[in-house]
Amino acid sequence: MRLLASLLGGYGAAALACILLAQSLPLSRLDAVLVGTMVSFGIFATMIIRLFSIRSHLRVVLEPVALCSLLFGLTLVLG
Amino acid sequence: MILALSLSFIAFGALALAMFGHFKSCFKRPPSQVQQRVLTLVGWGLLALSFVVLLGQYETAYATILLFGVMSAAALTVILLLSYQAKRLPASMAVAALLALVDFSLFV
Amino acid sequence: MKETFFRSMTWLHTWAGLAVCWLLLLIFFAGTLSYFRHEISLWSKPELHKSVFQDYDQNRLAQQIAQGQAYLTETAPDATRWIISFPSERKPYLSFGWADAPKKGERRGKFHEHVVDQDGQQMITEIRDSRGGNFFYRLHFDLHYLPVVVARWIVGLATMAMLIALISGVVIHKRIFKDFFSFRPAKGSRSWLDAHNISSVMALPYHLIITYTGLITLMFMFMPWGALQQYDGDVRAFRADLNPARIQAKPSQATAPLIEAAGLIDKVQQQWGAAPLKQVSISAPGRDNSRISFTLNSEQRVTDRRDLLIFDGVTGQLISKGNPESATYKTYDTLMALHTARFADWALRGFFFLCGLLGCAMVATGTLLWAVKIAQKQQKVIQSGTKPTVGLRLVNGLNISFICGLPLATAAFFYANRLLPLDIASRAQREVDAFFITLAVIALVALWDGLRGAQSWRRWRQWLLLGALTFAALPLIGAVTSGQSLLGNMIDNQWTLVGFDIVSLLLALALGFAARQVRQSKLINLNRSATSPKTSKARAGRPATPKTAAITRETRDTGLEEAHQ
Repeated sequence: MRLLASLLGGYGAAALACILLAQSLPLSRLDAVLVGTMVSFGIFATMIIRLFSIRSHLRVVLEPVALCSLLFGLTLVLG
Repeated sequence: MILALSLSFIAFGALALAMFGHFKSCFKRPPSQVQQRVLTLVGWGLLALSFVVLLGQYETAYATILLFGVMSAAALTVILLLSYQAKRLPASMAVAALLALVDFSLFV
Repeated sequence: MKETFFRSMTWLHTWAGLAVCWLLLLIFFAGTLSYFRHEISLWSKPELHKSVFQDYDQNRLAQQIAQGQAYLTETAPDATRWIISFPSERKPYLSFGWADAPKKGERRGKFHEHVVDQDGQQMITEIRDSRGGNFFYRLHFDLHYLPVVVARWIVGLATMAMLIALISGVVIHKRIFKDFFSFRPAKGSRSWLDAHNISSVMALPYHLIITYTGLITLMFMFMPWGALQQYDGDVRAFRADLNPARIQAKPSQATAPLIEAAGLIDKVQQQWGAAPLKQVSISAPGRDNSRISFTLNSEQRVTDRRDLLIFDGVTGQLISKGNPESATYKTYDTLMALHTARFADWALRGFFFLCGLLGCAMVATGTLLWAVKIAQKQQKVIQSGTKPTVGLRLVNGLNISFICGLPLATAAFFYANRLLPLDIASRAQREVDAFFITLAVIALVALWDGLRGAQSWRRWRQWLLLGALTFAALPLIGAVTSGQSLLGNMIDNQWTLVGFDIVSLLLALALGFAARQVRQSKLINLNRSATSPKTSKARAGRPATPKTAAITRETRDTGLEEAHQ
C-alpha cells in the first residue's frame, strides 16, 4: 500500500541521507552528524508528500527503491 | 510590550481594512484604490515599527521570537472584532493608537 | 494519486490529520500546559505557599552553599547526587535536594527536595507527593502507562503526521492571504472551516517550528544512523561529544573527603563574573570521583544548553570542558531552545501558551469539521430517525471524549492534588490516575450514548458546563485547602499563584461561553426542530435541496470541500 511505501521508503531515504551527509560533509564529526540528522526529517516529509502525489502505483514503489539504492551506493562510494 | 502590541493591532487592522469586504463591513462603503494602497502600506509599516520597538527592548533573537507571538495575538484580536463587532474595529484602532502614544511617552 | 496534486494533498491532509488528531490533541494540550510546569508545580505544593519566597541574592551565595552542604551531609550522606538550587524567577525559593541511588531496573533514583524557609533557618521537609506540572510535561512525550520508548515512537510518528498535515494544509489553502481575516460565525461547516483555517494560519510559524523542533528533541532516538555510523557504534563517545559537560555519575566505591563547595565561588566568579547562578550540584559526594558543578542561569538567551563549571570534589581543580561552539551546534541548540522555551520570560511564555491553545483549537476544529461534514452527508438518514453510521458515532464519541475530556481531566487532577489525603501510598500516581479516570468516564458515557444512537450536542453542553463550574470553583478550593486566598496572594506579590487562579477563571469563562454557544445549535446545518429562530430564518433562504446541491452551494469558495464531492 502507498502508506507502507511512503513510510518505509521515506524513512529509508531519510536514514541513508543522514548517513551520507554525516560521512561526507566537510565539517567536524559531530557537526556533520547534527546536520545529517536534522535534515533527514525534512527528507522524510518530502518523500511522503511526493509519494502521495504521484498517480502511478508502479512509481510509488520504484521511486523510493531507486532513491534508496542511489543513496546507498553513494554512501559506499564516499564512505 | 504594550507599544508593540498596539502597533501590531493597528497594523493588522489596517491590513484587514485594505481588503474590500472587510472595509465594507466597517464603513458601509467600498474602499477606493488609493485608500487600499495607503492602508496596506500603513499596515506593513506599522508591523515593521513594532518589530523595531521590540528590538529596542530585547536582544535580536528574543525580539524576533516575541514578534511572532505579538503578531499572532494582534491578528487574532482583529479577526474576532471583525467577525463579531466589525463596526468597532476603527474605534479600537484609535484606542490602541492612544495606548501606544501613552506607552511611548512613558517609555521615552 | 488523485486527478490533481491539489486533490491528493487534500486527501493526504484529511487522513494524516484524522489518523492522529485525538492523540495530537492530548500531546498539544499537555505540551501547552507544560510551558508553565514550574508554576503548576508550585501551585500543587501548598506547603510552599507561605514563607519560602525569596529573591536570588549574590551576596548570600557562599552562605547558602555552605548551609546546603552541611544540611545534605547530615540528611543524605549516601545520595548519588546533591543539588542546591538558588531562587530564580520561576522557582522563587532556595532548596536542597538529593537523588537516592537508583533501585534495580531504574535509571535514576528518587529525587527529594527540602525547601529553606525565608528566615534561612527552618526547613520545610514535608511537601506533598505530587508531580505537579511535571505530569503534563512528561505526558506530552512519554505519554503514560506505556514504556517510554514505545510512547516516544508513537509520539514521533504522530508528530510526523502532523508535519505532513501542516505542509499539505498550507498547500491546499489557496486563499490563505485573501481569507486571512475571514471568519463567518454561525454558518455550519463553513464556520468550522474558517475557525480551522484561522487557528492554523494565525500561528503557522509556531506550529511548523514546534512540530519540527519536537522531532529534533528526540531526533537521536528516531534517526541514530548518522551518529552510529560516524562513531562506529560508540554511543558513549558520541554523547560525550554532544554534551561534554554532562557527568557520568556512578559513584565509585572508594571514599574521599569532599571539599567545601562554597570555597570555589571565587574561581567561579573568575570565569563568569557576577552572572547569576542557577544551582550547585555535587555528584557522588564523599567518594573519590565526586564532582562539584556550578550551573549558570542563562536567563533569556535563546539556548537550551546548560553552561557548567565542573570541579573535582576532592581536589577543587577545574576539570570541565565547555560546550561545542560551532555554528551547527548553535543551530541545534537554538532549535532545541525554540521547542522547550526555557529561555522565555513569563510574557513570551504566555504568547507560546496562546499559540499552543491555537494549536489545540486547530486540531479540534479540524476533527469537528470532519464530524459535521459526515453528519451533513447523513442528514436524511438522521432525520428519518435511523441511527447514524458507526463511523460518525465513533468520530463524535472521540471528539467529545478528548475535547471535553481533557479540560475536565485536568481539573480533576488539580482537585485530586488538593483533596487527596496526604499520606496515602503513591499519592502522586493517584493524582495522575484521577486525570485518566475522568477521561475514561467521559469516554464511557460517550460510548454509551453512541451505542444507543443518542449522541447530541446536549451532552457537549453538559460537560462544558461542568468544566466551567469546576474551574470556576478551583481558586476557591485552592484557597480553602492552602490557607492562602487569591487576594492574599495578590497582597503578598505571589504572582505565580495569582496567575494560576486567573487562568483558571479565564478557562471557566471560555468553557462557559462555549457551552452557551453550543445551546444555539448553529453548529450543523441540520433541519432539526430544536433550533433557535435565528438559524431557521437564515436557513429559510436556502431551499431544502438534495445533498449535492447543498454542498455545491457551500463549496463555491473552498477547494477543500470540492475534493469531497
